[in-house]
Amino acid sequence: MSIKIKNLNKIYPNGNHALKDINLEIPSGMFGLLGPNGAGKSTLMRILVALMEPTSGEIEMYGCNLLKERREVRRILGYLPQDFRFFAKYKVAEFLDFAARLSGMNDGKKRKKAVADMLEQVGLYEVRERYAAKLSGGMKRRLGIAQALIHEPKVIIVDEPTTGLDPEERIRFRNLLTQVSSNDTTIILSTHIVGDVSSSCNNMALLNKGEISFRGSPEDMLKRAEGKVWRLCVNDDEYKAINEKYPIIATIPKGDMWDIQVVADKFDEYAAENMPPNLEHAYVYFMEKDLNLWLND
Amino acid sequence: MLFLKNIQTVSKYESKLLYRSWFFKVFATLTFFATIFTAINTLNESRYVESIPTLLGYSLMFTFNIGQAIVSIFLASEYLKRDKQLDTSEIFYVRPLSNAEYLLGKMWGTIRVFLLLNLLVVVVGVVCGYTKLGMAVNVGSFFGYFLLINLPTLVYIIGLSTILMLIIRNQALTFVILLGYIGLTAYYIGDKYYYLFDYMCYNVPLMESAITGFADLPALVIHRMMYLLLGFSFILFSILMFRRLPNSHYALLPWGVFAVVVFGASLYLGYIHISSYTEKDSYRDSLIILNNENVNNPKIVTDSCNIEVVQQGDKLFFETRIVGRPTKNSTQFTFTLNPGFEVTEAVHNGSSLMVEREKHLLKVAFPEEKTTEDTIAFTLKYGGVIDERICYLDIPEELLVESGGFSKYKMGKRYAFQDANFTMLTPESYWYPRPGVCYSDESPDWQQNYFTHFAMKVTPNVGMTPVSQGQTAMSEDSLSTFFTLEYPLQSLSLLIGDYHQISVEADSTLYSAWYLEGHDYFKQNFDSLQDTLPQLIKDMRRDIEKDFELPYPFKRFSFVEVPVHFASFSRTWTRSQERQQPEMLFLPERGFGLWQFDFNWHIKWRRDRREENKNRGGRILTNIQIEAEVFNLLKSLLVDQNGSVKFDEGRMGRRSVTIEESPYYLFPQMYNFKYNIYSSEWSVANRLIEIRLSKSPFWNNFLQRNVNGLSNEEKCVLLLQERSFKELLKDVELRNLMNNIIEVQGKRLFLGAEKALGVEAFRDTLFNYVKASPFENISFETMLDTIGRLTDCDLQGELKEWDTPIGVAEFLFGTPKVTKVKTDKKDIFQGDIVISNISDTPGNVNMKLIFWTRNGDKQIFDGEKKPNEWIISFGPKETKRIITHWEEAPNMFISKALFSKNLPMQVGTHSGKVETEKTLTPEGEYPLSSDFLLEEDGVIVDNEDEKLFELSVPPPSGFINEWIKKKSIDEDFKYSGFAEWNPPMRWTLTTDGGYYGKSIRSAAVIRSGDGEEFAKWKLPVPEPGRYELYYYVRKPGELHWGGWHNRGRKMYNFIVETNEGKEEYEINMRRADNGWTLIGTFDVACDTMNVTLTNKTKLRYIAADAVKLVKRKTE
Repeated sequence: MSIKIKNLNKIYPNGNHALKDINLEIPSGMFGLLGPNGAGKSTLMRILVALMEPTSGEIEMYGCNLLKERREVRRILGYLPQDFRFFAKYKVAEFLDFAARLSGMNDGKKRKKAVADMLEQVGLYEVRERYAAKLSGGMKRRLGIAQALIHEPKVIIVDEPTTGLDPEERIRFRNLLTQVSSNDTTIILSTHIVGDVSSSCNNMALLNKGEISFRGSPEDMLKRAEGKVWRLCVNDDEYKAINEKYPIIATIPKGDMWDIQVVADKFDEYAAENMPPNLEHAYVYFMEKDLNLWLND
Repeated sequence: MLFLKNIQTVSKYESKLLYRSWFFKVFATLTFFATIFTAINTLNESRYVESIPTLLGYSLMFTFNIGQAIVSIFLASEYLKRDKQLDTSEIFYVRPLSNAEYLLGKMWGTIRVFLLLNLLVVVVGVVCGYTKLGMAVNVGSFFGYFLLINLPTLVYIIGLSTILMLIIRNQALTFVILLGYIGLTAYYIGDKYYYLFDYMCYNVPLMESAITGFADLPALVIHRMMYLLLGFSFILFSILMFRRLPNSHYALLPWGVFAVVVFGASLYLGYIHISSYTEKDSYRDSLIILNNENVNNPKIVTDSCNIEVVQQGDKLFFETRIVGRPTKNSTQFTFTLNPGFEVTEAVHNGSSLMVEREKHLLKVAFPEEKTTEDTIAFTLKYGGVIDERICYLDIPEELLVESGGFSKYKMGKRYAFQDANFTMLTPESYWYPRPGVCYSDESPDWQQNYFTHFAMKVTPNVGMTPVSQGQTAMSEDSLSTFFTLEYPLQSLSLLIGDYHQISVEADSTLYSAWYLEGHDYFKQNFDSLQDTLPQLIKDMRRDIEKDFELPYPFKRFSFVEVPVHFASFSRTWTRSQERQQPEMLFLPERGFGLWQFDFNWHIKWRRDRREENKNRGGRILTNIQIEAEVFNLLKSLLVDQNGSVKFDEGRMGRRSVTIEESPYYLFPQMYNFKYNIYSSEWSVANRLIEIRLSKSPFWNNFLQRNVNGLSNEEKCVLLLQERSFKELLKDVELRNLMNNIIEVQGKRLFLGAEKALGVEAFRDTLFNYVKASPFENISFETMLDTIGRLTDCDLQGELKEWDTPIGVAEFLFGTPKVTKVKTDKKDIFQGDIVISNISDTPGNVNMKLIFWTRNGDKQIFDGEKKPNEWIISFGPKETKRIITHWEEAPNMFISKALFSKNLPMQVGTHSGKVETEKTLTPEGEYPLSSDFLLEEDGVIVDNEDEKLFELSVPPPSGFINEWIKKKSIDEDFKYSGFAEWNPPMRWTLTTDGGYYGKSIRSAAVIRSGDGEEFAKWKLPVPEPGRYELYYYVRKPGELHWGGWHNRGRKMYNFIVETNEGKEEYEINMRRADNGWTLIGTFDVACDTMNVTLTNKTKLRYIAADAVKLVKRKTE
């Protein structure tokens, strides 16, 4: 295992218990960390990149103790925060060069080549002399991942990377991460977008209210939802009645009726057809079933 | 290496960000133009820059530093603000560099941006300087001043703003706090606490002399290092406070230790800085204590003093033979010698003498008792390096430390110099043994001066030339110079440097200019004058002698160039300052700061005018005439009594002016170095007679009265009423008033004699008495006896009053009147004024009539000269009508109530329209009833009336303003001055002849406002009836000013309260005349009428003076 997390707790000074006794082993490859907003994903990410100290617990990253050997960990780490803006006055290539230098790439020639290669790889070579602030949202995100990858880190942590991107950029971005993960690299993708995980991660964990509520592969999660997704057509009154009892995960108007999808163990009261689940269905099912989150919310 | 590399990386990209910010671009552009502007400005004051070549660097680096200090706090806090955008910074925070590398890199990035700007200033400055000064521009000085001023300021302010930003976490608040801090330290705290808080060198003396360098370089370096380290320690502390997890648990520990060490080092330097001054101060105190203990010791009055001086490197070795007479019988005699000189031997009649040395005191013990009849000769050998701390023990430390200089150029003060290249020793440094002790604050006996026959032989370092008093001759081996004097002197000076002499002989006096190598800039200015110079000098000398009414007594006169830091102070016991010594006047290097010495400019200006005149066909001056005119400007330096005039803003809008005496005023050469009035009891005697004989500048009293609210003379009379003359003489706080106190007391002393002989005749008598005894001590008591006998006055008896406060009279002056009476022979103008002494103390009035006619002060009556100024004496409660006859109509009566309660003491009244009268009243003084002038028409309440007049109380002013603004001595007086253009925020009492008052013509003034401040008069109404209410108007000066702001109605707004209620009234100040002006007419049935004047007016201030209620006569 490349990353081992043992009994990790984080309690903020205001008493908020953000992470509760987390135990997690993360192998190399793409690892998805899924969870709703406020689940503690960002706290876990910030602890993993040594920006925050846990209240208790231990983390080992490629054999280094994160709490004691931060410099070593920081050497093998690449990080793309959730919502980062660039210093407006850096050019694309300069910014990447700066990141490379700070990561210990001191050989000028090698660094220059690495920067050019990375820019090629993320498709920003043409705009290398442009001020970073003038890039489009997708380009910025690519530059963001470029700075996280420039020093070929062993662990790459990306926090909500695809939020706000158009589908094309999203696919491009996922592919880029997948390419990187093919060499013995661990990529932790923290997201609340189920599609990001389903399309690129071979391992994942579900985090909710500071606790790991699922750990396995996306396929495992799908299996858990098989036969639990129902599809049917209902009128307004039926819709209201169903909505009060079950989580409705899709609603499509069909004349004066509604074509809806429902996640439930059993759905005998209505004439509904069973349909194969996707990861999003599994995520909702999981949340609804194991945590009873849906109805409680 | 990696550490430095990381810092370099962070700094490179940090500075890149700064270079690209609009803020930097604007500031750099401003810097560029401001530097050019400042350089041009500085270079235009060419007399400064040409005198002190390093001044350009000083000026530019100093000016830039102010901008830098402000902008850097903004930029330094800017990056921390940027770092608050967490997500953006986090991609850098997760890199393997340490907190120290990151933060130091950030700061270094900011600093290097400013370094570049500093370089820009240097380059622009050097280029500008080169265009004007050529190769003379001093490039090194730019870098020197950068290290002294800019670098420590930059590091300190960046460190401070970073740490503040980390604590406060709000950029705007940090910026405001730091701006306040800059203002506080630069303008308010200024040079207090020995410049300790002056981190940006706003007040620290930094001017460098081309001869001797900085005034006190070690102190300067300590001060700047202190701030450099303090700033650095703040940066280090910031590393500890930086909110990013360190690379390991103990990563911050070494930085913490380092920060504490650096912080401790800066505190230590601060301690050294302060203690160097306090130690100096306590050392000086110990010298004074020693002097007090030994002031009455027997001493030897030196008749002759032969000094042999050998200079070896930076040391001087002396062998001095003293011949003199004891003042008392004793075996041991006390001398003062500079504590820096070590005594090696004392020899008397071939055998060694015991010398007891305690700091600066030498007690020379003889084997047998010496009596006052004996003449003693002995030789003293001593040597070493002069210790400046002995100089000016009487001057408070803050004055010694206070920087001199002009505008932004702050200059340190030096009182003696001694190194291998330049030496300057004046009597103040006690470089040769002088009898008795130096300054004692308990007994004035130390002040006594004696005339001594000096002779000196000086063997300087090779290439050096000695300068001193006397005729010079070289030794046969040309290694030594002999100085011999034809007359005894009170003191001797010695200068050794790379001096050159240029001289002219005229009327058997040798006039020289001693200048240092390379400083002969003036020669080219007077090329054409070679042959005319002796005559010009003769003419100038004749004019000066005529002006002072005394001849120049010496055979030589020299201008001697000395370092710009050389400073002298005025003393209470003599008009002479150290800047002036017998036969010589010390000028700052290349005439720095003296406008007369800007020969180039004066000549160019005149030549330019000549060209203009040529075109206009006007008078054309030749080169000789132009050069002669410029040469003659020097006279103004020698005859102007006033040195600098300092205006101070005190607390609450009070103002004060201090007029310093000019150290170049030549009078001491003619008087002080030749005559000496000696009194064992009253050492002030010499000063008193000196002031009596010199002329005081007539406009000083006028200026002081206008600015300070009281003239110095008035202040002195107020002080003398409370404390005795003897007591006042000891009060060092009264330093600036001391001359006036002595002058007032001198006037009092000789008032009787002056009345008996007449003002001018008395002065002639005094002059003649003094002139009869040159180069010897004149007994004060004998002088008083002689003049007393001549004038039938008991002058010695007057001295008894010096131990007690004086009683003073109080006068009322009637309105003067002039009438024309036709007699058989001619028209006679009759002056008529009533004056009343309303006190129980006799007093005197000095009456002077002003004639704006051709004859002016030279009035002739019946073919004889008639003085227009005389003194009139009054007994207690005596009222007199004074009638005088003139051939011309007097236009003004100036009555000065001498030593009186009156404020102002002097009142000038125009005599008004001349009416014709038939009968002529004979000239003379006619007694009137004592209450003649007290009869007033109506009820008057003046602002001096404590019961019937009241003022509003404004809210207290700001704490900082109260705390920091200087409390001046003027605040001890009830009345003060104010500036009409910036009136006080609180009610301030002031006096002026134009205000109403019986003997004190005063008013309370305050700045105008919305009517929140008021003055209230409670007028008692004698009986019900119809009354007219008047206000006493003195039109404010602003009504005479021009300009757009002086339009509109300028009213005084009154609220009058009677039984019929309140009603508003106004007086249009523009239309009103000075004096009683009608507010309105009222039917009053109550017993009190309240009149309120508010500060609501478009004038700048209001003056609350007096109101009058007059019952209307029944028709």
